[in-house]
Amino acid sequence: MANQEFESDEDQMIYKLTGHKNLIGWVIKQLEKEGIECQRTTGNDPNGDILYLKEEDE
Amino acid sequence: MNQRFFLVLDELDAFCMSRNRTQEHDAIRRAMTTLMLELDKFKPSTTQKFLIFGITNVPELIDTAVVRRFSVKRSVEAKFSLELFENFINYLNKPMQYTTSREKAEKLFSIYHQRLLTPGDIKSIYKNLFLDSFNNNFSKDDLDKKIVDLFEKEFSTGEHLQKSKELAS
Repeated sequence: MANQEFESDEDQMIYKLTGHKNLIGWVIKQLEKEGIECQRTTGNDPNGDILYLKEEDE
Repeated sequence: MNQRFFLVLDELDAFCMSRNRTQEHDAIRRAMTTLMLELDKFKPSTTQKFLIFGITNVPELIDTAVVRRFSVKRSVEAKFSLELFENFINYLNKPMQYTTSREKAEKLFSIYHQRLLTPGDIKSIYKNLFLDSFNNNFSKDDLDKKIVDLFEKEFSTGEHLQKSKELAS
């Protein structure tokens, strides 16, 4: 939460990144449930965290 | 042809704030003046095929000259019944796979009334809670306590508007 207190800056960054990672995992699961093919991107992709695979592009 | 056309101007306050209350940029003032001139061109008495809606959550801040140009003024007070409220919060609970019991829903409903919370405030509470759930494995008891706590402490639009009115008077 926004008003949460952290012992160090690193703790705050770890908290944010863990939440971010788990949220992406959750979104990917929801997309898979709907039969939408996708995968997690790596390397701080400027296009986003999830790659959505469109059949016509393959 | 019996077609009708609608133009919806959402967040009308973005460029139609009362001219004596704000230090608006000249471009914003000109946009508002242009809107008023364009509205003057429509004659509701001769055609009802083109309807323009202006929407805001702060009607008291809109310039009276703009308000005057809209033929019909309506306000919507979205207040839930207990049943609708329960359905609403359980809809918001779904992504967390959690259900609020009837007893808890009644408690939250009384806070909702007491604190003048809006549906937007409640959605914001659940959004933060949902995001928070990605860092914490909340048990059902944790969520029960946390939701009540957030309903009691988080931002309330109704209380905020009430305070603003008190300060203005």
